Amino acid sequence: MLRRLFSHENLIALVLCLILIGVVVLTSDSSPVWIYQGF
Amino acid sequence: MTLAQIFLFALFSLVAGRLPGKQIRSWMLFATSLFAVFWLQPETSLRHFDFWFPTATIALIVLTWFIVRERSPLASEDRISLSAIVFLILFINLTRLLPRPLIIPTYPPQVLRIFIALLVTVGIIAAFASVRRESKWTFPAMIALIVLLFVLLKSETLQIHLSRALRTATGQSPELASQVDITWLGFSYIAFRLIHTLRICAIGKLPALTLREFLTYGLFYPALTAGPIDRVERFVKDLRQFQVLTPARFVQGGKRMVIGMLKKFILADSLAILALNEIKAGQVSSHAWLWLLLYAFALQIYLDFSGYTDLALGIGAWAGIDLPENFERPYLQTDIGAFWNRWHKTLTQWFRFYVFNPLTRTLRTVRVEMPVWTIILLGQLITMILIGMWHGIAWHFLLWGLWNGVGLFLHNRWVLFHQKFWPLSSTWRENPILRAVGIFITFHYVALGWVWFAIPNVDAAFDVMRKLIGI
Repeated sequence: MLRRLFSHENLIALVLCLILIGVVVLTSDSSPVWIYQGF
Repeated sequence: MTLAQIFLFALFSLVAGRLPGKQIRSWMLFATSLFAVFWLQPETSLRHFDFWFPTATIALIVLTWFIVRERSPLASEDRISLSAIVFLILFINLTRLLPRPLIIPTYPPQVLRIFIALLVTVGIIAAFASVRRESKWTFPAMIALIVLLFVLLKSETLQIHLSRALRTATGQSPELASQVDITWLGFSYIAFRLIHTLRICAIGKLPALTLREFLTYGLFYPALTAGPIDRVERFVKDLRQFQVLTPARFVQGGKRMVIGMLKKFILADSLAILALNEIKAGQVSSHAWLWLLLYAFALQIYLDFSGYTDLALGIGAWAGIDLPENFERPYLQTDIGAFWNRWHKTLTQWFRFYVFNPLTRTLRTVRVEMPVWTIILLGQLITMILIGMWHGIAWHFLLWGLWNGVGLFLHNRWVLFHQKFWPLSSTWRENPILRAVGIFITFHYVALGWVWFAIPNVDAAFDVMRKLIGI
């Protein structure tokens, strides 16, 4: 069960998700306001 | 919406979607939407206006509800809703006592001013409510009031005048009056929802609504800042249906949110570095770079806006509300008509219902007989110019609308010409090369139109347009 859960493929997917979340968090602080929020 | 706000709203929706009863979930959506209108309001230099703008939004919706509701004594549920609104306003006022502002960006005004404002609002509502739907002038008067307010908030000159007047009233320096002072969050979207409600009430198609339902519709937190502009009868159906958050709905909503964040925070915000604006256009000398800036802008505006819609739909789905789609692969359409059926759909549908259809109907029945092509031309130009002006009353938005109106008319004529002199079989129409040519032409026409949109200075926009097409 655990081996299936922590399979090579799932770990890669998890790392990818963490990178994605990291990028989102790090970039969002300086992100421009939504364009259509101004209308 | 910032990332923190997105996460918190997603959490609210998650909780609301899993709540056991219809009533309690409905109350939670109402309370969150009320709270969101204050929390999402950006800071303005006008003293206390990050408090007054959201308060005015709520007052406008309550006023509209009093106009459209059936004549009957206030139900106890509506009394509770009204009390909840007053309580929230007073609660936000109490945050004055905290060491730093909470919920809204600056300190709220003194409580006495709030009581005076509440009394004035009650007076206005009582005056409108006494005439209400029995008088044939109530609906046009309310729509005119919303349109006037809209014009006041959208025109740069009027915005500066308004800012000067408000600065004088608040004891601030009128010399510093600026357009950016008037940042009334979500007004354009709310105004169009209210006009829609008034219109369908006037033709007798509005279902009976409680104040809680109507306020949740007007201020629904995922759609508050940038749409979509839903239809009240559709929204309320979802609200009453009580769709529980199932694992399938959780995955579907979650996917939309992840896609939305990817589009906005990674793709659109990266493209923002390259996207066309007046300064960058002045810094490049070659055609190729200018085209690159334009492509970046075209993609940025799509990814930014459709990313917001994805988030709104995802957060809404978790709460059990399926907001309408705003985009359906608009840049992959083979003609400009199809593009406008798939770009900011809820706004274009609103204009089709309330401007294009009544306008062309009127033009067909005027005494002076007009050829069909004139009716189509006028209908498309006026509608597209008004869609442009919805973004702001300025020449560059007018030109953007005109550009797209002309495109729609040319496409309409081209289709007729084609059918008459060069009818294509369905096999030809599905030919991948012809489709690719159609997509290429449509995308480039739309992208060139973004020049007017991206550059507010019309002379500079003309220069960029000349450079792009090599004149």
